[in-house]
Parts: sequence; structure tokens; C-alpha cells
Amino acid sequence: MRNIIATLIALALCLPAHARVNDWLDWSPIAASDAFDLEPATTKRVGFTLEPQMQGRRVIVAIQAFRRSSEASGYCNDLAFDVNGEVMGLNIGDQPRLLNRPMEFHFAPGGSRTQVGGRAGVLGLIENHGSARWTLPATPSFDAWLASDSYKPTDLPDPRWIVVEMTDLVYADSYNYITVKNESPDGGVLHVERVSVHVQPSRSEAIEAARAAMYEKYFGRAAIVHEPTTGREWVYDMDLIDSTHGSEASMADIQTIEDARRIIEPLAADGYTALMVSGLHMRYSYTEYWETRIVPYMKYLCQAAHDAGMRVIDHYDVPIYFSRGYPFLLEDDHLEWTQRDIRYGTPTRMYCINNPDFRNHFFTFTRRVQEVSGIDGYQIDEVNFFDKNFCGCEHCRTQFQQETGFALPRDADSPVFFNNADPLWRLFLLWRSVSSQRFKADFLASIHQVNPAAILSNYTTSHYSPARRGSAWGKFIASYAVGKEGVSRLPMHDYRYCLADFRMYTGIADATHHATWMLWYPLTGSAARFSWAMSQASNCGQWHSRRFSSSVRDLIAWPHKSKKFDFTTFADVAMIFSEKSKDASLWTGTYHGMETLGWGEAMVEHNVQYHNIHETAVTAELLSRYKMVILPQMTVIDEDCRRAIETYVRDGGTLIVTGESGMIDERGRPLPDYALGDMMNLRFVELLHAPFDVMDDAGSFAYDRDRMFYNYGARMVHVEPRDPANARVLVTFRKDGKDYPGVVESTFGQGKVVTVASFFGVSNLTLGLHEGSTQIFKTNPDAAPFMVRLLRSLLVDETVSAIDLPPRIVYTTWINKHDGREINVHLLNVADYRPLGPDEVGRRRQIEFPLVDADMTLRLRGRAVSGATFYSPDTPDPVACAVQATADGTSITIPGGSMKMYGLLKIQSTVAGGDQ
Amino acid sequence: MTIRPLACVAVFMLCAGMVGAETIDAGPFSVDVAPTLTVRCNGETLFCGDRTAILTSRGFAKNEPSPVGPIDAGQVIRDGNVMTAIVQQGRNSLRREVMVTPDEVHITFEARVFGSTGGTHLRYELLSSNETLQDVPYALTRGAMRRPRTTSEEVFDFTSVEPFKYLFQTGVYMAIKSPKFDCTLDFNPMGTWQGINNYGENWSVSPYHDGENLHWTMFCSAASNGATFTGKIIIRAGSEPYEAFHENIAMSYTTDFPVAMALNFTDGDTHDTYQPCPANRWRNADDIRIVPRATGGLLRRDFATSAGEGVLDLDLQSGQYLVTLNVYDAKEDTGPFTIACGDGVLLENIVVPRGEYWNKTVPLRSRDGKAELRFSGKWKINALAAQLILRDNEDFLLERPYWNMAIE
Repeated sequence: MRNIIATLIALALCLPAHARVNDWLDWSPIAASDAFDLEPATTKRVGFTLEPQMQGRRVIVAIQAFRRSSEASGYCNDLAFDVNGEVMGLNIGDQPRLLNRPMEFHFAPGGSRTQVGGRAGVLGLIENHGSARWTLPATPSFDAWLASDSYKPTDLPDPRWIVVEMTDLVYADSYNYITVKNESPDGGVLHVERVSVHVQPSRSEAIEAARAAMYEKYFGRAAIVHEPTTGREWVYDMDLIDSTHGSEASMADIQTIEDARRIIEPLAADGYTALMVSGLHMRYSYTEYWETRIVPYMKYLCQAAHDAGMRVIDHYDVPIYFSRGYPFLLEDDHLEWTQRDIRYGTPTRMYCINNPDFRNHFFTFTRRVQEVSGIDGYQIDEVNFFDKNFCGCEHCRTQFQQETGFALPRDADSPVFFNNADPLWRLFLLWRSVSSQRFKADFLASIHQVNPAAILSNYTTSHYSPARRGSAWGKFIASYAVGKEGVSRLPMHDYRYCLADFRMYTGIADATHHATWMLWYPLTGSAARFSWAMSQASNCGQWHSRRFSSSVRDLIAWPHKSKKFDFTTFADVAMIFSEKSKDASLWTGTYHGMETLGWGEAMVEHNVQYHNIHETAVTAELLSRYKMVILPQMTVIDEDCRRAIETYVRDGGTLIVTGESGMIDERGRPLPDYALGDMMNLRFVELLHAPFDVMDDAGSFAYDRDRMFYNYGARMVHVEPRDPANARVLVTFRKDGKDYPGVVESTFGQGKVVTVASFFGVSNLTLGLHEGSTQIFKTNPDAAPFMVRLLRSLLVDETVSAIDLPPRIVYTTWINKHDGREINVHLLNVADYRPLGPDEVGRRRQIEFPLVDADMTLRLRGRAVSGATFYSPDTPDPVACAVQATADGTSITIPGGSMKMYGLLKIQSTVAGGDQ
Repeated sequence: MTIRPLACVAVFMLCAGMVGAETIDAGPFSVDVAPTLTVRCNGETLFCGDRTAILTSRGFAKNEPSPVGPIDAGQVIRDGNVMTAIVQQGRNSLRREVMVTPDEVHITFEARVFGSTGGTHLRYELLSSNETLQDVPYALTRGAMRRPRTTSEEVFDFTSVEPFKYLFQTGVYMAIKSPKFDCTLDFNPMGTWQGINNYGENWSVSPYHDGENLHWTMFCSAASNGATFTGKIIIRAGSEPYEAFHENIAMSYTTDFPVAMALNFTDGDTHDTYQPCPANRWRNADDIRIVPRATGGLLRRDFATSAGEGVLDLDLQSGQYLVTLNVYDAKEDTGPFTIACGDGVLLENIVVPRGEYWNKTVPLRSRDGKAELRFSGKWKINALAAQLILRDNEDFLLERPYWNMAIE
């Protein structure tokens, strides 16, 4: 049975007329020939059969051919072909059969030559008794033809290919064949480089292709532009504080420059370098105040701040309005600006970030405020969609279709809506994230018309987990700084999580060449001080709590702070964080982040120096700087990462793979086996539920769901070695009396891959706690020591390690990124850490920082050391440290009694370089 | 001076003939037209003054200086049932406006203070005589913003509370349960709608007494460098507390599909299938045709139409709505048609080409629990959704912008 041509022609064509040839060649290939020559009056067959799922789709044939000639000497019409013995006309229905070029093309500028078509400089196709003849060049090669001044085509984008549709001639349920014919009347020989047959992708394949293209365009590696940091160095080291009263301030207290100076000068005197203005936070609830309050406030505040050497960041929510904004909502056509439910068209209390009138209104006003004030930075939030069922406004629908080629359903009952398995829904969610990114980028471009130095900052609260309203990753790309809000109210209790979480943010910032900052919400003065110390240890700026400004006054002014802009991470271990793994599924995506944090918390606690690398930054060269790379439940490993990882291991690197890494494809679909199975030398068999015992030489322990909070982690992966001779089982898991490979080491190239067939990170995870909440987290107390034992057994010559360090001292290491001559070690005293009982979280307590009276000695390998000095806000003067060369590095000793809460060891190296 | 038109078109009586002072009388309420605030309910003086002050570390004290100057020296302006007092000292000012209707008295204030205040909070206080309120029972609802509320039955007893100590804190609603003050007080008319606490807006009351008068104190925090503090107190006749018809939710604007649908349309929330909504009827049901179509989904598949005018009576609680109308017909063009409501034409000359989807949202006011939509011309309507954004008693927000007491 023939395909039904009428139906096909009526279908909306996914590709525009004369689409680039690669767009057609990307269609699924079902048959292809090798190169061959075709003598006159001879034929060659290429056969194919459509698979059942391909029936009803368009079918094309693509051919590369020329007539052999000693030089580029003109054109011929020798080529013809039929399908299943039927002649092929020039048209299919009322559409040209030739897809990738116009029916006529031009050559020989000036029309100096006349060829088969009869018209000077123009070549067309010829139909002879209903059969098309396809124009070919006479030439020794394509290159010679295209180099010929006389015959080079002037308006063909893809001159080598002829792509022809043959849908109407194809049998859907039996064998088909194409007969390529040389009908040369004068003995010409055709050289056919290739004949290939392709089938249109299914709709879902086409949507997935559009999604992949959109992802790469906006969120992929090519989307990241590394702009110079000149002019925004201040962000890296900023000590930021609210201008007045936080987000709920009425902005009514500044009418004159004197009003502003009264606020600014004490803050500048305290050492703060930047102000965050958060007042009238939901700006579209307060449009009547825009002129009367915001304009004078920002004008005078910026003037006073700049006079005092401070910067100003304006921070607010953009599209949200509350009832206070109703009068504006009902004015003019503002109702038309609202986001709409994708099913019903009903509005909600957010304006649509894609509405051109809304954008113009917002951009125009913000530009004007910039003109009168010179605002240094912006943090515009909630540039987003109200919920999963928004935005279905007409602007969004039209724009979505224009950008993707697909229309959103109109039926309120459409099964597409809210179906994460539906490719169109997934495309829509991605497009929303792109919209958010684009709004921010366009906003910044608008502001840059007035102030090219203005920066955009962005924060998010839980980047480790997938976001229902869209990932913040795209917005990070459009920003210059990445911040984290509300890291913890209990920083001592949560220090492992806090430091691990900020490693993740540092990795994101590194990928985009951005600064990082933290906003803490401490409950006590001592917690505020420790929060400051953790910001130092994370090498990031800080947004300080105004409430505790008196508690940190001496710290803000402390002169020995590390200059964050100059430093980058200095670590042996890299852990890859993957947006694609995170966003592949709202369910499994969460556990990539959790496994990442759980491994991070173990390394923080035990002073294994590591760094998070964002997947878009992964290259073999970058990985080669690390002694070990961890893929923590990195379910999606894209091709770029896979290649880089493979090269890294092949060249001698050590790879740790945990959980279900590589078990999901980029479309979010499960894979039957590990994507890295060849490297891992393992085959996935099944997932088995805990309990089981971890049989480690250093001590066995139980792994069960009572010892962790998230049940997802209470499983093991049953794996089988592919090549048992190359598999060394380091640890076994014993379940129901049977032993399974638990940790397996295999060699690959010059390196090795160690697979940890469970979720120890998840079992070790605690997240930040907040006042009033209860202590809900349980961790497997044996997990972190086990994980660190495993890492240290595989790490060779840890670069910075503790020789003699009191318990409960944690440190982070950083290196001067310009010349590598200074290494900074931030030391934190977490002696007062203790697990809180379920009812203790809400209680405020002062943190104790007992004097560290014992010497602290670290070893630095691989670098000559010329001196080391220890600085601490707990001691008035810098402390000279003993430096001693040893057989395996240099030992550096900080004298006892030098530190209570925090200290900074600055090591001078005689060796330049080493940006790690 | 221009005062915006009033929302409440209620019958009230202006009595200018009282001896000694001009008053505004309406229902049980009587308010003197004078700088000093006097509000009476059933002839009894409920409030006998008001003031602004700064809260310092020394706490409350008698005869604290006012940052805006003495209110007695202020200017008074009357416009119908609204009496406005203005007092100014340098850049600092207090504007207090009292609107009197038979059902309610609205006291609206805006205090503006600039520069170093010497304290941490700007205060606005209403004053009542201890003697008047002694032994008066009341039901008090209190609670911080976005936190659970509690209601308790209590009695004013100034002998058991030391002067300058709080009687209670974070009170938001109060029903005074006394025949002489048969009214409720609401100190939080804005906050629950606002959805967000605001340093510049009142959201609760924390009263103390000075041995002579009760001070209904409202705070604006973080005022060390000045602040603008606005607020509204509503006194309602009767014993029904404001909260009974004012939900304690962050905002009244919903995103659900709460909708009154017409004819075989539906009423339900987001997760429901469409249900019949008998409360809404075509007035001329015999003239209305329901045309089924094969496509368009359950929501937009069928439409109502008629040769002449179609009037849809909507049974909606009084308030301001956003009505979203859907028109779709895969077979033929629609229009031109016009949609009107009781306040006039909403949309006119609407044309919807065949196969196109038309979604339009318009504001609609429901009064006395009723609203109507009139469809005329070559009209169709597939679905409509009505979202309540403000209840009728909250309409001052729209028609008389609360925080902008414009004086020109």
C-alpha cells in the first residue's frame, strides 16, 4: 500500500523550503550506497524497507554525483532515477520534489555561459516524458567544480547534494528500490559518491531534536561567553549589607542626599563595600511609588554610596504583584500583560515576562532609574512563571511556535499538559527556562545602554535539585554573580552541608566566570561570626545580616582577608555536577545533587580537598589537573563529558562512579546498561533494596534505610564484571547471605575506574536546618569514614594533608590563580559541633570556639615553600609559621594558641603556575 | 484639594447642627469635624484622640513629643462624609482621614518622618478613655503575619495592668461585646491582602494605657532614619468580626479555576472535572442554543449562542472579578459581537475568525451578589471563568486608592 500522499502534503512541514541539507540528512538513514561509477545506459539499485513505525512518514533520497570530466567543463542532464520502477516527475502534489535547492540556479557570473536549460547563466531541471532529469556538473571532482570561475554555482547553499522527496512512490509494507540511471546521450560516465535514503523522524523525535538544539543553544557549552572580569572585581570580595530594612522597606526614608548620607556613612565606616536595596520588593505592587519613592531613593542612595566608595545593588521581584497592584493592573491594557493558565487562559498575579508591552514598561523605567542613579548591580528575582500551568498567553504560544516549530495544545484536557514524559511538554518547560534567561539577558542589555559596567547577580536556594518552575542554570549564564540565599540558620550544625553546597556554587561560578556570594540567616552573634568565617573558607563574598552587624564589625574590617578575586580552588579531587542529570527527571534528578552533596560533606568533614566542576566546563585538559574525578549518581553523561572522561582515564586518571551514573539518556529515558559500561568493565543487572552489609576490610557495617533520611539511597546496584580478569572487587556487599560486588576497580588505558555500586552520598546527606524546624536528618555514621577511606586508598600523594591537626579542625585550600605563588588555607574550628536532637533545632545558642592550643601541622606536596604566615581575627598579630622541607613535601606548623574560631594560613610558594 | 470619589454609595445623614461642633453622623457612628479625633458609637465616645510618637529604648512615657507637631494645631478639611486632618512640622507630617458610613468608619493615616528620629519605631496611636472601656468584654484575634491566629474572650481591666505595659500584643481584629459599643475594630485591613509584611504599613495593634487613656499603638519598625507609616483602622457596626468575611489568607487572588461557568459549563477547582454550576443561568434560556462541536476539548468544544441578545445571570458574591471569556469555533467565523455588563460595554465589535482561539479577560463587578453579562450581535461563548480578586467590602482599594490620599 502506498503512503497516502494527500495526507502527507497536508501535514505541516517541519522544515522550511530549501532547508539546509544537513537538516534533511539528519533524518533517520535507512539505506545507503558506497561510491560507484555508472557507465552510460547502465543502472544501479539501492534497496530499502520501511520499518512499521516509519510508515506514514516522509521519505527522501539524497544523492551526490557528477559527470566525470578532465576539467570543470559545464553541466549535463544525464542523471535520472526511478523508485520501484515508476518514473519520477518534478513535483510531488503541487510542491517541488527537489527539497534542498531551487528548481533553477545560477552560475558563471555575467551569464557568459549557456547550458542545457537554454538560458544564459541559469540551469533548471528537465522533465522528459514525465521523468525528471537531474542536473549534474561535468568535472573531475566537486572541489574542481566549486573552484571553477566559469561553472561555480552562485546561489546554491549545498551544491554537492540533491535531496529529492519520494514519499508518494514508496511502499510502506514491502521492499522498495531506487534505480539510479545514467541516461547520457554522449557516452558520459557518472560518478556517484553516495546515495542515501532517509525517513522523516517521528513527531516525538523531531520535538526531542528541537529540544536538544534549544538546550545546546541556550544552556550548552556554546552559550557560555567568558567575558572579561574587568570592572566587576568588586563583586568577588564584596561585604554586602542591606541599605535599610530588607525587602519590606518602604523606601520612604530618603528624600535628600543628606537622608542618604545618614544611612550610608556608618555602613561605609564599618567597612561594608556594597549595599543591597531590597525595598518595595514586589515592584509591580507599588507602581504608584515608582516616581515618588524609588527614583529619589536610588538617586540619592547611589550618590551617597559612590561618594563613600560603596556599590549599590538593586534587588526586587519583577513580575509579581499583590492586591496593592490591582489599580495598576486594571489600568489601560495591563490585564493583557498577565501570565495565563495554559489550559484556560485565566490570568494570575504575575505579569508575563514574554509580553512585549510589559517588558518595554519595565525596561524603560529601569533604564531611566539607571540614568539618574548609576546603580552598580541588579538582582532581579522571580523572573519566572507562576506555576507549571503558566504561561499560556498568546505571546508565549506564538513565540514558542516560532522558536520551536511546534504548537502548544489548545485543549484544556490535552494529555500533553503536565506530562513530563511527553516531549512537547518537556520542550515547553525548557522554553520557559530559556524565556527566563532571555529576559534577564535582555534586561541587562537594556541597562548596559546606559551603564555598561552594571552587573547582574542571581541567586537560588536549592540548585542541587530540579526546579519545577525551571532550572536557574540559564539565568546563571546570563548573570555575573551567583549567590545563595539562606544557607543555614545553624551554621555550626550544618557546616559540612554549607561548605559542600558552596563547593557546588563555586563550580557553577567557575564554569561561567562569575563571582559567588552567600547570604546567611544566623540566629546569634556567634553564629553570625562563624557564618563570616565559612564565607571566607568558601572564597566568596557575603551578604551580611544587618541584625548582627555589631557582632561582625571587627571581622568586616579585618585587614587580612583573602582577596577572593585572586584565588581559585586548589584540590586533588574533582566531582562533576551535571545539569542534565539534575533536569532529566524531577525524581531521579534530585539524587544526583544529593549524592554530590553527600560525598562532599564526607570530604569536608575529613579534609579531602575537592572541587565541583560543572558539566559544561568538563574537558579532558581540565580533568587532567585532578588526581581523581567522581561521578556522583551522574545519570546523564553527555557526549562531550563522556569523551573527556574517557580521555582522562585512558591517560592515567582515576574515576569514581557511583549509583546509577550513566543510566539515563539525554532525553530522560532509562538505559538498559551503563553508558560507561566499557570503561567501568561492568554490566548492570538490577537494583536491590537495602538492608545489606558493607564488607570492608577496615570494618563491616550495616547499610539500611533506618540509617538515612532519603529512602532512594537505601539500595545497591547489582553489577557483573564484563571481563572478570580485569575486575578487582575491593568491597563486597552482603545481602541475604549472598555476596555482590560492591566496589569494583578495573583498569582502562593507563587509568582506572572504581565503581561504587550504591548511594553512600545520599546516605551521608544532611541539608540545612532552620529555626523552628525539627532535626529530621539521619545519616549512616559509617558512611563518611568509609567513603573517605576509599578515596584516600586511591589518592596518591595528597597535595595538602594534615600531619598533626587537632580533631574538629577543617580546612579548605585555594591558590592564587594569577601566578600560583600563594596558597591560602582557611581553617575553621568546629569543636562545638554536635548533632542536635530533634527538639534542639529551634533553640538559639551561642557557639563556643575554644582556643586551639595545640600546634597544627600540614604537609604540602609538590611545591617549594618560601614562607608561611598565619592570620586570625582571634589574635592581634600575624604569626610566623615553621616551614620544614621533608622527604615527601614541606611541613608547615601553626603554633598553638593562635586561633579560636578561624584562621588563614598564607603559604608563599617559589613555584609559579599551577592554576588548579 | 481633591478627594477621590467614594466607593460606598450608602445612605448617610450629615448632621451639622449639633451644638458646639460640626459632626458627621451615619448609622450608629458620629465623628466630630475637628483636628482632635472623636469617634462615637451609639453615642459613646470610642476614640477621644490620636497621636504620633517615636519608640525609644526608654519605652513608653507620658507626654512624649510628637515628631509631626501638635495635632490640635492641624488643618481640617471636610468633603461630604470624609474629614481630613493634616499636621505638618518641617518635612514631617501626619495626614489622617476619617470616612463615615452607616456601616463603617474608616480611619486612614499616613505619618511621614525624616532624618534621625532618636528611636527605632514610628508609632501611630488612637486614644480611648480607660473609664469608658473598663469592664467592657471583647473577643480578640491576634497573631503575627503569616502565622496562625488565635481568638480569646477577654475583658478590659485597667486595674490589673500596670501603666505603660502592654494589655496584649499583635492584635488584629476585635469585637467589642458591649451594648454601648456594639462594633468591631480591625487594625489589619491591608496586611492580609498584601501577602507580605511591610515595614511601612500597619498590620496589628499592641495597646497599653497610661493610667488615664488606652493607647491603641501601631508600630512602624526600622525608623531610625525616618519612615513613612500608613495604616487603616475600620470600625464596623454590629458584632460580626471582620474576619468572618475576610479570610486570613495571604491574598485573595487565586490561580485556580474557581469559576462560575455558564449553562452546561462548570464550577470547580483546578483538579476537578467540570461540574454543572446551577447558580448561573441564562435569563432567556429558551432563546439560547447550545452548539456541540467535535473538536476544541471539553472546555472549548461546545458553545452557547442565540439569534438575539443572551443575558447570563451570574450568582457571585459581591466584589471585583476578572472574567476570562473563551470563544472558539472550528467551523465558522464569529462576530461581530458585543459584551456588556451592568456598568456598560465591556467589549465591542469582537470578531473571531474560524478556527482561532479568543481568550479575553475583563474586570467585572458583582454587586449584591449578582452580576450579568449581555451578549449581543453574532455572538458565541464557549467558556468563561470568573476569578474574585477583591471582595466588595475591600473596594476602597481600587476605587479610592488607600495609600494615596491625594491632596492637590
